[in-house]
Amino acid sequence: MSNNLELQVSHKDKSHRKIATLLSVLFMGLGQLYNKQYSKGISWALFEIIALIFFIKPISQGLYGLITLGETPQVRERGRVVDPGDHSILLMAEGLLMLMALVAVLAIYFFSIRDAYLVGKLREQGKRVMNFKETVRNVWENGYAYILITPTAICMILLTVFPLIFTALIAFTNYSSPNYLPPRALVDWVGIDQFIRLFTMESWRGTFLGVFSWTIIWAVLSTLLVVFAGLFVAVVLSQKIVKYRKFWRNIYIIPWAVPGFVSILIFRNLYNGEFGVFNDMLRSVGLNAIPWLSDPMWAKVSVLLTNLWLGFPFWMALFTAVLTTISKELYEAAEVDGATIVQQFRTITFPIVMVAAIPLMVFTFAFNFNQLTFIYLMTEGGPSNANYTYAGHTDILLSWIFKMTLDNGQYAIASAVALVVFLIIAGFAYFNLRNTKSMKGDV
Amino acid sequence: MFKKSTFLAFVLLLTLSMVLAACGAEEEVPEEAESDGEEAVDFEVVPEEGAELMLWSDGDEQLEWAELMAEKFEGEYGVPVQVEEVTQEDAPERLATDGPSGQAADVFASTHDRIGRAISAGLVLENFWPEEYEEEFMEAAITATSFEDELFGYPSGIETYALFYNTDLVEEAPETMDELLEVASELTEGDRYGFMMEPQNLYFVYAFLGGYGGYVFGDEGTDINDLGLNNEGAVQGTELLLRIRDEVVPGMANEDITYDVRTALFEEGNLAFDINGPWAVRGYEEAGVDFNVVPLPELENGESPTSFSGTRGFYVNAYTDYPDAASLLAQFITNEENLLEAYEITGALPPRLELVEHDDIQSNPISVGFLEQASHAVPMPNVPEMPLVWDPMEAAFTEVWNQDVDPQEALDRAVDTIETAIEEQQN
Repeated sequence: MSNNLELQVSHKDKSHRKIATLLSVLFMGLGQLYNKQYSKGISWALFEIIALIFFIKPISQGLYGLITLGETPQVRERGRVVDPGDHSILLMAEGLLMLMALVAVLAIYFFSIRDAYLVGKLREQGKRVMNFKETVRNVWENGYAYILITPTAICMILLTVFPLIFTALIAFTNYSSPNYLPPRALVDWVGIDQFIRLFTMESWRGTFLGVFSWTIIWAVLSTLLVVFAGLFVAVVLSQKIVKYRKFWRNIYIIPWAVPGFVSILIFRNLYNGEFGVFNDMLRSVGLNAIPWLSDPMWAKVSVLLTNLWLGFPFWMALFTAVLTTISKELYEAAEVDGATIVQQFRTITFPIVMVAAIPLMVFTFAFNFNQLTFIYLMTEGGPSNANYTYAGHTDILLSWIFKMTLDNGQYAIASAVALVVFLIIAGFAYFNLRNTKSMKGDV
Repeated sequence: MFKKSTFLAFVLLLTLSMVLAACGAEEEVPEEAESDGEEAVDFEVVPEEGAELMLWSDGDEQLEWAELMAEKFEGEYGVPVQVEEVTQEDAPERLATDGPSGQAADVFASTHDRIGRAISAGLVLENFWPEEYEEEFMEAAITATSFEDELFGYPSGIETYALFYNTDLVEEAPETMDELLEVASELTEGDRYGFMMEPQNLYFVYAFLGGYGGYVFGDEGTDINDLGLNNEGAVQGTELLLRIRDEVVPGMANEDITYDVRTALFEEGNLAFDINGPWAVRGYEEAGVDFNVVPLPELENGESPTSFSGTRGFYVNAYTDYPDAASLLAQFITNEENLLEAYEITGALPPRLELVEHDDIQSNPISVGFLEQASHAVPMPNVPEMPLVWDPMEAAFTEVWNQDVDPQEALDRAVDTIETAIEEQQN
């Protein structure tokens, strides 16, 4: 009986869906009113009225600023600012915020239309429509997780996503010294010009390959060296034959505990070809002095060695911890089967510790790829290379970019480079982590 | 029930609209026009009603002096001044971000070679009394703090490097470069060295290049299309480096002669001659070395080496709410009495012409040494293109010193690199 009635109703009011949706598109809440949900309809309508009154001006101004990046430059007279003019970069930041606000408003608008559509559909099917109280309760019960996540999501958008987008946007402008610095001059959108420049600029192209390949070599070698040195020391120190194991471990941890940049600067002096301790020691045993920092090849070796000294204690500590989690029974069983120490290491220890190590290795690689501070403090990119422009033999991409772009106020191109480096690193990290067992699943 | 839920929805909407309206309000802040601007046409400058100022200064003695100035200024003009420690190297960079957001100091100190970008970005106000300052200050200081023929800075100190010598090892300062090299090579023995300078650092080497007729940019360091770093003079200056290498420090790579090494040797009394700046004086005094400072010795052509000079100056933030009070503060702290006080507290040489002749300064041989060198000094160019010069020149000097590359060839390559970079920067 009731089934019959529903069918009848739906037949009669087939167009509820269409009409409700259309009305909601015209003005938020109209669809709900049509659906006889008066409280909800009025709330939506109120929202749109408030939005129209309060947001239209700031949002349209913000978007206008974002599109034009300002139109009036600063005006001065007699050493005093008469008209402060438009500050392109601030306009860009505000415009971006307003764009986000607009997206939020549009999302709400979309939800109101979708709501009208869904309710209209329910009515067509003759199903009972929830009243306002029920709706609120429904939202509270089913949307609880979303309500909880909202503050986090807003913070994330403002603190993480916003700055990222902002930096990325700079790459598409001409924000640079000396001609395009706000507030005196306006900044303009230039599309992908900066990226084109990157690969057509003489000073960039000539040096890029050399620096890029050293960056890769440096990132790979520095990561592998510290990891395997750490593993080696951890395994050796976990053997029972070794006396005073705790003492050795503590000694090896020390480099890690000393603030990095102090040790780097000290190392820089130790490597000094004429007055450094290393060469003094070599000379005292009758060997030839090594041009540590003045020869390109040795400079690279010095950088890698110092990084090894600084970096392996962390890995040693990590592997020591992982080793303690491996069940002793595995080794006992292996011994019973007559496995040698090397075999035990290869088939038991190594696979287990690597599961823990690989994700961290990826991070270390990414970190070393951008190890600006280390290179800068250690060699400042030196020894200089006259065939490179603004780069020395040990400069990695980031330290080179730092010199060439940030030092000289080339913000736009610096940001373009940052995007390129980001893509390289992100791509590498993504594929590696995706194929790592330890990053699969939560458990 | 119905009422209650409507009320709830209404409250929700109200809060939301308030949050969003608050976002919208921010928009209007930068729209505010500065109405005080036009009144400043009057040359009579008085602090604005209710003005409060902030002053950025370096730490240590500079900070001590700045705090004293803040106190004196308040006493004289009734405007409270808050002092905050921001180094003169950081100030221009922070101005770019903190200026527009209203958090930067109204008046701050900077070296002249670092302020170029902030000025070209329009973040700094012009000096309000340019004619007066041009009359009363050393020309080098005025050139250094001017930008495109307009004076921006209120100069407070001038510095350049000169020849330090250990009076225990050397009795009389050499007059010529030949003499210096001769004495230095005689003194070099075992752990003791006669003379050292950083051979790859254009800042120091420029003294020789300039003395023989080289220059960075033409037209007093402003014509970026005219580079003089590979002309005949520059080549002769670079050749002098080779003489130093061969006669005084044979076999040393330029990476080995670091600032640390040099100062440590001098402090131990194992270095007879050192080219260094006033910043090294205190350290050497504390190390207990007996030393004196004299101008750099004459070159073979009879000219004095033209060292680079740096001018420390105070600048007024273009975003200040009180431009008149801030300009007054900058003027006040660079007046005669206060710069003399700065000299006494910090040792900074005042670029005011009157003060150069002052007894307090003339009675200090070290200050006199620097001042004499300053009269031959050339201000480092302050154009925004200057940072492009250092690295290629370092590469060239390294090639010449470490690998015996022909000076002309190395300098040509460096100049070529710089020209390309300048061209590309103009995009």
